[in-house]
Amino acid sequence: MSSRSRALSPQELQAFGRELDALRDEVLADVGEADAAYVRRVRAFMRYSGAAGRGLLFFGLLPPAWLAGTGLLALSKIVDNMELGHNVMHGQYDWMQDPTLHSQTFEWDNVCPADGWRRTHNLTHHTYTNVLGKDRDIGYGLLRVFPEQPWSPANLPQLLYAGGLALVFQWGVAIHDADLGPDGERRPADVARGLAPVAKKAARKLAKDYVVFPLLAGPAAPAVFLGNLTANLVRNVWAFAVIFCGHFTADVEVFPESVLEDESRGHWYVRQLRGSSNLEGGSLFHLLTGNLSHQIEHHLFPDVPARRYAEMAPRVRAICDRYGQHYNTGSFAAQLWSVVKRIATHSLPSFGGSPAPVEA
Amino acid sequence: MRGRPRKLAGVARRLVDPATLEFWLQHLDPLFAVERVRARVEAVQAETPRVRTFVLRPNRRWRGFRAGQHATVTVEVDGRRLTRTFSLAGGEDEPTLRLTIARQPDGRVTGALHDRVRPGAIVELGQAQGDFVLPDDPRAPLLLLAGGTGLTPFLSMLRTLAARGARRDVVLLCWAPRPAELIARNELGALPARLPGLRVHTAFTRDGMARFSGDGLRALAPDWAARRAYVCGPDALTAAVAAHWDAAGLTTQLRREWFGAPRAAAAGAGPVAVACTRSGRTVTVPGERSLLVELEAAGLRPAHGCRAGICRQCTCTLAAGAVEELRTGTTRHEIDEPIQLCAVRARTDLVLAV
Repeated sequence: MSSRSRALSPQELQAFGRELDALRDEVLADVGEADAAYVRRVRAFMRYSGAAGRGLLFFGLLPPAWLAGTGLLALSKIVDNMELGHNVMHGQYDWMQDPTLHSQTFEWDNVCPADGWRRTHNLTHHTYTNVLGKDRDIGYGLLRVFPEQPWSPANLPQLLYAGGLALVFQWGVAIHDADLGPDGERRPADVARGLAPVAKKAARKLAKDYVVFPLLAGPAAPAVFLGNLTANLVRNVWAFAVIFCGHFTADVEVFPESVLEDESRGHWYVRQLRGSSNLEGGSLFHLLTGNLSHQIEHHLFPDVPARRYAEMAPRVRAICDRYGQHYNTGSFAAQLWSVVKRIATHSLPSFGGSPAPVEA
Repeated sequence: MRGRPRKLAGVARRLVDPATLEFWLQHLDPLFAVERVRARVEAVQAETPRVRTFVLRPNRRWRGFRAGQHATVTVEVDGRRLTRTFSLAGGEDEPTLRLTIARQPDGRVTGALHDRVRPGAIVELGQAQGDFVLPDDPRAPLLLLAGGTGLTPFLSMLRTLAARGARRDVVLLCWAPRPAELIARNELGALPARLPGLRVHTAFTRDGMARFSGDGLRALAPDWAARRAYVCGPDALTAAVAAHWDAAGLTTQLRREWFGAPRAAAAGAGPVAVACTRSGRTVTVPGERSLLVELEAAGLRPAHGCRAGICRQCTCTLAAGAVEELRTGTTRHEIDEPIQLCAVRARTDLVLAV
């Protein structure tokens, strides 16, 4: 596989890393009151929109109320999962010393327990980003998205799998995090142990959305049930689309495990950069993606408050230009289309080359 | 807004997470909290140019205190919740709490309290702690030595005794730089009338007046050695007083309350003791490499992940002491500050929630 970035000398890698470190430190030194106020505003918006959505759904027998209620609830769930949950769990707001916004104790509106997410996402995915055999997020153990992955006939209908996964994405994430993929030898007892926290969390979430709130609505129960189901589906499809654009667009690269041996900070940065891609859009779009539209900045600086990525992006891009590193960005539509093409292409057998080296 | 909401809160607590519950119920009652003590500032009184008293009305989570104890106060400064410990200055039976706080030079928390906290503001408190309290024996004669705002725990004791109409043999010695900087000055003058048996002596250190000395003590309280003694004040005073009692072989007769800014980290700290509150173990580590590596070498097994400062699996809270970030050299020493074990090294003795 050829790279659109040039290989860097060890000295260049070191300098590249130092420039990104300096940018990170500069932004972190400026983080303060405005960021704290922002994350609290985001949380308040999530709660108000959620309450308004659930309130409107009580009148869900009226179509306009059902539409508005479902829309607001979907919006609330999206903000909860993305701009709030995902970012808080990365420790972006740990500096606030607010126990309700602390990375290790935060819980979100998702059937995936936050503890499992912290382990697989923050540790496995962010440390071993796009390292084949280490980063379990490459194709989620379900899809073949790189030629370096082995092909089997089961990959032929994988566009359909992807469509199905989009609809049930939160369940996909939960099961994925419980580490029950088709790989490896697992006894039923291990599977049960892995799924126990998921089952506990899912029971609460299912009871809330499909039992408690419908029952509270009396005659409007079916409208509430359907509204909650739709809101969860909208959140699933949206999260799936945004997340797949982050690592499976046309030009992203994967790496062999050998890169992890004594990996320098500069090399780590290059690997994050080449494994990620950005989405262009307005500020509302960035908010709704939880700033994962700035996937590159997020992977370079996972614990910098995500609202800062927009101001860092042009500077990151300028640094990348100077070092001849490809900065993968495009419109949501174009990037999503390239993901679909990638999934389709690799459903067929291919004869992949070897990954491009980072270091000259 | 008292009885029924509490019952409701008990039921709701099992269904809704406390943070969400607090968010909604604080719309009705800003002091509402499931466990935390929130208090409304009712008044702010100037004691001296540098010292103010904050009168607070806590919510029902406050479990009371004994005169002489202290509590933590948490305020938000630049988006970050910072916590400091202050003595409670009011009497035990008063309906409100009093915190008498001096503005520290470069003090972020005391500066914020003085500059920004006005009546109506809400602050968060911790429960009262400390064993700097009056002896159980009500007849034991007392000797109280106070420097500057070190007077506050003694004010709490004397206000409590006076309000209860107690008779108590008490000698109070106060040091202040100059008369205008003596806190509760008028009240100190009036207290002996309300509390029979109390004698108050003040000394001013910036006007050619003597600092603590054994001779001065003997002149004011010849029977000092027979009294239960308490000292609270700046380090220099506390150390001088402690040395005097130690030399007389009366170490156990003296109670000390230290206060001050957190100790700055010394470079090349050398071996430090790390007390781990979760495992209940205290280990000694060199303070050279990351805390994660050194705690593991000492036989502990803290939770961790990437070992590279990325994943935050090893994050834990610092209860006391100072650490240095390995990559940036920044020192961190805030109470309850989250630190990543794999990315810092110890700079002083530490207390960690591990």
